[in-house]
Amino acid sequence: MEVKTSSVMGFLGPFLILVLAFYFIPVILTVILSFTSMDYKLSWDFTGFTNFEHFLTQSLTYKVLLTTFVYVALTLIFNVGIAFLLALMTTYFTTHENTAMFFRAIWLLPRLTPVVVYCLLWMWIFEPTQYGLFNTILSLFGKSSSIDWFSSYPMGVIVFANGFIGASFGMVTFSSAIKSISRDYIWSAQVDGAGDWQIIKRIIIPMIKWEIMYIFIWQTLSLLNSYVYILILTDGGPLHETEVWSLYAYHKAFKYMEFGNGAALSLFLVIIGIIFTFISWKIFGFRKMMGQEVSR
Amino acid sequence: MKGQTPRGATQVIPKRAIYSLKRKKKKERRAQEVRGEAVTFSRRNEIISTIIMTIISIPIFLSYLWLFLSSFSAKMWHGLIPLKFTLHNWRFLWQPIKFGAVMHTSIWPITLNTLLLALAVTISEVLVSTLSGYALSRFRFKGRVMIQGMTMLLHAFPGVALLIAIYYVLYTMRLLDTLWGVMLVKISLEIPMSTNIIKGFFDNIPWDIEWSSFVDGCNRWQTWRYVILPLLKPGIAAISLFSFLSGWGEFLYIYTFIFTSKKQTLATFLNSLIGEFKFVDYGLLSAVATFYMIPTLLFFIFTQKALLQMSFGGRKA
Amino acid sequence: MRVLLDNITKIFGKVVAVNDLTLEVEDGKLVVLLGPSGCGKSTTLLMIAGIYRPTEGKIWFGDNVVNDLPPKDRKIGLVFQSYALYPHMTVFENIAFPLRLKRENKKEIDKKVKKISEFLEIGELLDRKPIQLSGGQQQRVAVARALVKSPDILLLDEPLSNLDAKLRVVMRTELKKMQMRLGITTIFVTHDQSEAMTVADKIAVIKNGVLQQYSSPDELYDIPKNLFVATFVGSPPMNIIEGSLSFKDGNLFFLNPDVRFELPEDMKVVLKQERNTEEVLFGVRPEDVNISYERSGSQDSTSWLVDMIEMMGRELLVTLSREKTMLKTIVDREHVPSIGEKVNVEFTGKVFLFDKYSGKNLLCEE
Repeated sequence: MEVKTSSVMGFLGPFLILVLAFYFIPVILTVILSFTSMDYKLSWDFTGFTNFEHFLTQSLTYKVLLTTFVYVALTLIFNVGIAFLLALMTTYFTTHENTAMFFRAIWLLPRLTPVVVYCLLWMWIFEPTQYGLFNTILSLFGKSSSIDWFSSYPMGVIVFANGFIGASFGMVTFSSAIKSISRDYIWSAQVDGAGDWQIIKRIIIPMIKWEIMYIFIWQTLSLLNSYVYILILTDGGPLHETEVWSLYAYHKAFKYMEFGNGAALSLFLVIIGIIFTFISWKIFGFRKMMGQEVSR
Repeated sequence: MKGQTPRGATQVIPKRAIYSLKRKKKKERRAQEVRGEAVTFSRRNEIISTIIMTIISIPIFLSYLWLFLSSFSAKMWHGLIPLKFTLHNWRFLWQPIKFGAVMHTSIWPITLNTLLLALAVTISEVLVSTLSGYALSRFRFKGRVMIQGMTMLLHAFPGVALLIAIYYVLYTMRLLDTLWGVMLVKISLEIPMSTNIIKGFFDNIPWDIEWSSFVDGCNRWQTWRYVILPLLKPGIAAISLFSFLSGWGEFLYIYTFIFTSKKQTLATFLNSLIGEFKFVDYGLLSAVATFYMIPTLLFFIFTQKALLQMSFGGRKA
Repeated sequence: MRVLLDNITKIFGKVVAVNDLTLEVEDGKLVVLLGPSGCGKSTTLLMIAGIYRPTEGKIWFGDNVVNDLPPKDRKIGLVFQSYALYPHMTVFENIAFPLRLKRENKKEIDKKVKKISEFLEIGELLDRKPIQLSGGQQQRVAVARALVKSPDILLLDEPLSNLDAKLRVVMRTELKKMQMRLGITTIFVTHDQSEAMTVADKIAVIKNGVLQQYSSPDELYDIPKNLFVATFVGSPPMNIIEGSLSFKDGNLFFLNPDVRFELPEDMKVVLKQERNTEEVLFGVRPEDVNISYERSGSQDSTSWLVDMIEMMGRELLVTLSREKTMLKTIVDREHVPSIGEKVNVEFTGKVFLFDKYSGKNLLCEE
């Protein structure tokens, strides 16, 4: 129905105020803060491009950049790969709906678990002594000495921990996409002479390519910004081995109380976030408008 | 065989294929028949895929099992098989935990903090997103398209990147070190998504239903109460569930914006316990963690089917 | 290739979808599986395709049992109601798909796709995506994809149901022509009896998973084996009137409070004296009901009330009533009755008698 904007405000007011206070103002603040040397006193001292120049000269910046890249790339592959595998196995290969439900539920559990509890589980799995899961498994295969995963393979630890929790989102999205492919396509392909592998390669993957793309963009963006598991598990250590960009910014601001520096670092993430958001909106928003679902 | 058999008959079918399939155990085939599967459906592939799924699920499966078992045992073989039953690890329920050298902390006020925060997040998120979802779905007004586009954009935007600036916003609003502040941040970063979900539910309620309820003699309030709300229930249930669990599990904002130990929640409490007892007293840690997991597990067991049916994007911390 | 379904049964859980079906499709013939939706005709087709495995019974292609043969080795082509054209492939890629899976060389594929697309007159569409095609074009592409690998058997699952009414009539004629030219054994599933009548060499009528009758279209129309077939085939459907038999003075009558009709000689031969007063169902097709306006002397004609008149184009469908009985008749437009008018009725063509309980045609031996 046609209503005046003023009366709509009663409904939209709270929403708009919250969005203004915790999205729009912070975006602008991040930009401004990055040109200051604000510290724990929270006073505004504008220093121009000093923060950015500072980072350009530091070798740690480049190390962090590389770490971030490795971390995002590895986790992304792990993440999306497992998600696709699980989706395929629980929809295409399994006829026992109960088995499928069981596995989907198991993989959903980490997502619902409190962050800290989830990290505790991984601390046990990668426990450096013989009591940890991975070391136990290794000892079953005859390896006597335990591996100190946290200091030897810190990147592995955070990739695994983030990969396992991230897989569920892709799994749910892919499963429902595969399920919505009409059985006629699969049947016709079978009659046309396709085996399982060819059906997956030539029918299923092309038909869910939008979902795959969506998950890739979404996961990249959220991996760039999801440092909370790393914060609890390794806190960036040892020796900055697992210090990703977002965690680096966090540490600058809340560990060393250099808010200006931290803001300068987050500014990059904010800009990447905005760009990615616009890209995905352009692609998927457009697709929604065009009523792509027709193709199924 | 090759080309010598009469036309249009037998040569098309490789005999080997028939024989190899025939060798399949009868029982196995019977099981397939009842489920009405394709001839191509390969039992072997199903078994292989189940085995692969089991293997990759081992860390998840075993670690939750470990959490539970270890909280009740005094000793574990290789951290996997419980050897001796005890309730000692659960002592925190009736006595304060010795923390570091001097600090004594009881778990109950902390649990209450956590519960209140989760409830506050749930209630306010449902309220705000229902209001805005309704407005965006039902009203035509200037700027609607813009606001709608904005919700979609924000839905994808990673709010965590803004933490530093949000710290300053909370500081100016004098909400630092308060659970209210945490709650506001938490819901703001989640309402774009929940608004979208609720709007979707409203979009699915046809105008005709609303109109016919008016014709049937409902006033606006009664329409809401008897027609719209029941249709909206699944959406509200989903949002309540997710926002409760996400409020209950919240760590980062509390860790960052709360300094007073009286205001901490189970998340930060468990985190400091981990700092204290990591690799030392898994019994106590797993007992506290299991205690912390109780609502999660309850929700998980009772709503698992519903959960699986909806996508839950954007809940990444 | 000859296809033989030998006592086929298909059970899904506790539902019997197809029950003990035996059917032989001769080489080069077009056979239609006809029945209302959910009758098991599509399940039967999917069993022939190898998508489903029969719970019991054997499927023969020529001299081989193919029960255990996967669809890709059956040398069949299949067209679905939805066409199932892969939306991410062009028309060319769709048609070439079966050949590419067989790893035929590129030149060969090009040649075969060209040939089949010219045959089906879709040569100019090869670069388009399925979504850019009209319904009729999509249907041709689906047929081309099914035929390109020169299958032994063509399976069509409601291939015309997604087309609009006008196009459907055109396409069914084309399908039939194409099938005759290629001489390919074809099994065609539909719920539309007029479609079945026009294209089929033989029709198998199925209801609730059970085969009702398997015969040529004329026979199906002229000698329906039971009430279901009689009412399902023919449009508008046959009039069915309840009543009883009566032998009187060496003549055989069908009697009911509203209708009294002397049955023809040949029926008297088949029906024995013992059937006197037996309750039966009497059937007559609307086109065999004649109305006249003058009072005629015949004792069979009685006075009926015109209830409703429906325009059907060249003809009119008139509903008549009398006490407890209703009759539909087709009248040409030269003699238009008016509603409320009284008319006389005569049954001029073939009439049918069915058992009231089993629905069996009393005139069919067996």
